[in-house]
Amino acid sequence: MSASLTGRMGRLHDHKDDLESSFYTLLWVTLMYSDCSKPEKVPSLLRSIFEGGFLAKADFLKGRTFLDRVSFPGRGALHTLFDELAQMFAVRYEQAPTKQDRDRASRINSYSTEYYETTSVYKYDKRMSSLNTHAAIIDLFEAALRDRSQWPPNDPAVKQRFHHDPVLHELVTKSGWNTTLFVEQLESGDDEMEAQPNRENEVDDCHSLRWEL
Amino acid sequence: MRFQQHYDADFHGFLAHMDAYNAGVLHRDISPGNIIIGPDHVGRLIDWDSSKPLSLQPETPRRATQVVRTHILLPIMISANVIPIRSSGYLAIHVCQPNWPHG
Repeated sequence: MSASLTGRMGRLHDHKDDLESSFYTLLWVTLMYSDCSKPEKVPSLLRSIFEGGFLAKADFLKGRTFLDRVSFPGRGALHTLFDELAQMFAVRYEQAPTKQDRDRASRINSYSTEYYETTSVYKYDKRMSSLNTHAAIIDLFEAALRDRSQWPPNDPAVKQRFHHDPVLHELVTKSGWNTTLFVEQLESGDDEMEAQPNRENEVDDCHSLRWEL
Repeated sequence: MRFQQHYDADFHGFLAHMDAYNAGVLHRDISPGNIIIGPDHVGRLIDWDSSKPLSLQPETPRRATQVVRTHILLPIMISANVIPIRSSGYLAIHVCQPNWPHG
């Protein structure tokens, strides 16, 4: 399911959602049946993309951090394909140009078409229009297949097995939303503070901090 | 099985989606489980239960009661050479192959 649908279930389902779903389908198949350079990163990515919500998918497309750091050995064409597809779909979740931007771009266009094509408005519109049909994605699919040197000779599909360590003691941050801070005052602490007001670390000595999950 | 066959199957599924879309049907449920690889190594896009003719795209958001059953879409999908499988598979195969033994 596309990030857009995940985020706003009430909106209409259009063909762009299906195109984006095709991208996730190919990504899932690749992660499941192809080696990757950092398999330890895959389970968290799978959880985040396929079980996460709108933000996880949109950030995956826009940030492409995973794709920057992980490669598919022997299948370089796939890496290029995923990067270009992610860029293509990321535009759905980017800030659309404002009316002011469009007015400025329009003025530039009346002056120089060549310069207009360097504006963010032109690039945004071009990327959005590439999602109107299947053609641009088919071109990318075919480009990945064209260069056979980018695919391994025997090319086996190997079902990947991801190791998942059970979390025995979950680490939490002190400022985590699910953490509650209790400050307990020690009964004897106040007397000692009064007797020795200049002591260092007096607060720590007089109060115990307890974190509860 | 070679990895490229998985890749090709996804690509075939994508092409089937395009054919259906160009014929006026939106699949609306693209997922790994809905692309199967046949013995001929061709990928097939299945499970058209959520699909909908583009002409019937509702003005209001998607609701379960608005899902159009496959038999309404069947003539369109056959003309687009897209064969629905799963819940309406029998009907589709019967229409495509008149000599089907249970026809």
